[in-house]
Amino acid sequence: MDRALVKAVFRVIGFRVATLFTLVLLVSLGSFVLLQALPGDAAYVLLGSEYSPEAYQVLRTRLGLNQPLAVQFFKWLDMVAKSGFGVSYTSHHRVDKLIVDGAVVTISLSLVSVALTVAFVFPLMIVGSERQHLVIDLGTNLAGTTGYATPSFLTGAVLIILIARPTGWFPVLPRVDWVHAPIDTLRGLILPAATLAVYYGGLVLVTGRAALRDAWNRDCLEYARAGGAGFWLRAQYALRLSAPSIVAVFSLSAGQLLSGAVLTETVFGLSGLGRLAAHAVLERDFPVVLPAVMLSAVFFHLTGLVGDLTLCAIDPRRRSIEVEHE
Amino acid sequence: MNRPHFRALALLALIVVGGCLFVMVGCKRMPEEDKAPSGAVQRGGTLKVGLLVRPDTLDPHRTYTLGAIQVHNNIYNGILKTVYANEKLTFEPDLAESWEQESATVHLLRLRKAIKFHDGSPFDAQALAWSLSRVKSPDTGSPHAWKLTLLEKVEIVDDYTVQLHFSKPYPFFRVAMTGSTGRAGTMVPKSAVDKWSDEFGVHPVGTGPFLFVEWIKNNRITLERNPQYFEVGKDGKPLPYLDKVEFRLVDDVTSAITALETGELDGLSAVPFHYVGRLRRNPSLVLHETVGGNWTHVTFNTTQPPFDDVNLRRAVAYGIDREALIKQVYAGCAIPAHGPISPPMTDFYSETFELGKTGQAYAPNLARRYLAQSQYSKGVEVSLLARGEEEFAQVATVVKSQLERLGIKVKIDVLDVPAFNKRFEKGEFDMVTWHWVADLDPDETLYPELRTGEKWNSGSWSNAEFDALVDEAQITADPTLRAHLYQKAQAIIADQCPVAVLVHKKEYKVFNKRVRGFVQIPADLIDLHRVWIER
Repeated sequence: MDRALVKAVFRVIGFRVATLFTLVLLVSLGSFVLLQALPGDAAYVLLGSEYSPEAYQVLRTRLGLNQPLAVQFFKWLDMVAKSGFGVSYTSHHRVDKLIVDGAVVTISLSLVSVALTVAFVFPLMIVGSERQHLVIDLGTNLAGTTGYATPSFLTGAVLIILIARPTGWFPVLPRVDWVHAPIDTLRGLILPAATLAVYYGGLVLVTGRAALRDAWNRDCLEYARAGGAGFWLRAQYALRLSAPSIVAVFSLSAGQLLSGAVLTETVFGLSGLGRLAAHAVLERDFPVVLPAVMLSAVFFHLTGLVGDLTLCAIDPRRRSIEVEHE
Repeated sequence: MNRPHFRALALLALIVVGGCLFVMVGCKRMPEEDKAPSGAVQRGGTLKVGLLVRPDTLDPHRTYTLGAIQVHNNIYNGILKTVYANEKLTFEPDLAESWEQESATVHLLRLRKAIKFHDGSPFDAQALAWSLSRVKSPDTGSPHAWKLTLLEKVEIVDDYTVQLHFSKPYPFFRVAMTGSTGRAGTMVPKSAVDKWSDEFGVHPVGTGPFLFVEWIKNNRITLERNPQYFEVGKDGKPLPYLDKVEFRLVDDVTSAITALETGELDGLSAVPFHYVGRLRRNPSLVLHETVGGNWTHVTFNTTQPPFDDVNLRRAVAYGIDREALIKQVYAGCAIPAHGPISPPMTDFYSETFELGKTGQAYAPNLARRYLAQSQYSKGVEVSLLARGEEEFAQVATVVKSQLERLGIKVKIDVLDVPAFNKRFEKGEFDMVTWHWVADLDPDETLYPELRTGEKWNSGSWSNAEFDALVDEAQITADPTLRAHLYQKAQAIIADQCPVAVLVHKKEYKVFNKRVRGFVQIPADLIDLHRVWIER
């Protein structure tokens, strides 16, 4: 491990850590403000059909919504610093438990999606980009674009109708319980993960293929082929050359996956971060919205970090700045 | 050219896919065999019901959503309960053993003995008094406190006898005291509320057939059998028959229906209208159907033009084709309404009124005549507000297309719940599509929405004669006289048209045919007390 790499790694991690706190604060403030821009508040939502002006005032006061916005935000920050994220305005569930439960589902779903994408899309991407072949080119581009263009609730519904219903191998409404039923949980996550893999995998396929095409076309690889170098050896170098684009699209996709996939979660009845945040916004339940959004920001930051580190490891040019400064 | 790696790749992919399939097939469920129903009750099992509403809280005194009652009624009991038998809806004692009216304003309740809440605390007269006071107390902020405004005193005669003194006769008492739509009469223990305070809503404790286990938000509510429940089953042992109940909270209706059809769910709490036909034809399902205690209508803002003009209101009310609406929006799963009172109010619903000329109905010639008599015979443009939930927007769309035939142009605004509530409260609309559900008594149907100054009178309609009628009916104990007063009140609605009454919707519950013992009560309830699963 050369010093340049180590220095680069520390620089990357350092930057990410330093900006994390500010980012999280800004994101929570931003979403708090945006939430206020929506008409109505949690009291309106709670009252629903029992709404009356008097009841509204009573509930509003009880929830502390009649105080100025700045006061509400700082009281929330104060509570977070001292005793955690408190409870949901609408149902009084403890927010930390809601977030953790949602995160478990979302992280599980994301990991299985990534695994499926890597297992099915990566080989397709690598092998399909090496030679210029009309059918393969058109086919993979079409598959990728269709996968990405189709809304995930439609893909999910199609998978349910074509696979879950006739075979009975996969549940329509899976249950996530790693402690008591890990095999059933894994089996239940396959279809929703496949739904997401079709979506994000489509994007990765199209982008990755384009980047790999350029890489395969480089003179150095042509010479290597002429010299008799094997496919896998050349593929490794093609991947390294196209790494920036692939890692970028992959880490962005992973970040989005971890933020929660509302549509897929809705179709399969999964209670992940996506549905949690979406319902909380509709209910103007800001004690739940803010941590959920903050967590999204953290996940994006983390996947960005992993992406940066991967590029550091793959691409020696990234370390050269340090060498020059010495 | 060196290509062994392709073969390696292909082999690897095959192993991966094959491995997955092996795992999946190995865990495949075996198909169920059909057995003829035997008749003897079988105990045990877990019932999985898809719940298509989102309960806001499991605290019955603080709940704002009607759907929550579907769960509450299995955790709690009320002083009375709603019973539907032989096409009559009645209110029978539940936690009370007997209920007598000693006078027009005094009710005597004798309570069942030896009943305990799920946390072990006893249910007795003190517990009842405390629970009622909790509903009334402003600190609780209960949306059901108004049902006890007339309650003056709770007199504890002895440990199991209570006298309730009201300031006026209160026939609505029988609805208010039920554990279902009443909620004021749902019994909640002091011990648990003291322990959990605001978080009681996620740690409910009642006297009901099922104990609360967990509520995973947006996912499921799990209940398990209460071995100490006081009601007894057909086999002489305590109810309930089921071991566990899982209410699966589902947003996506298509997935819920698919899960029902694959057997992952044993039942659904509701069926969207356009799926009713399909489920009815499915031989492995049993569809329960009844007209619910509800009415869907268009409310007019009577305080400002153009709907301050009674003839324009009449034109709209008589110009809407209810049958077409039922076909287009409700897939036939509703009946035309001629007045707000619906069939489950078996003491008050009058077939003659419905069929006769005294109620609102579709009469296009009459509508055109009223329009000509109004100030807007040349046409007018109006706004129609609809909440972005359920079928309000679709009703609005059909109403719009029908009114256009009369020359009334309609601009529709569909808003999400908080935005809608704001405009609804301020009366910022000409018309609004609305409905009122789970009504079991005309007092809760006619009074809150149509009496002058009431909080639900969003159209701000004011009619002194109507007010006098509903005021008197509210405190009239004699059922025949009451029914007569309400009929006169409905006649005024038909004439003055503060609302255009549209339909009474049917309610559906669907279960796998293995699920036995379910009785549908037209208050949208899913009572699982006597339900069992045939294996």
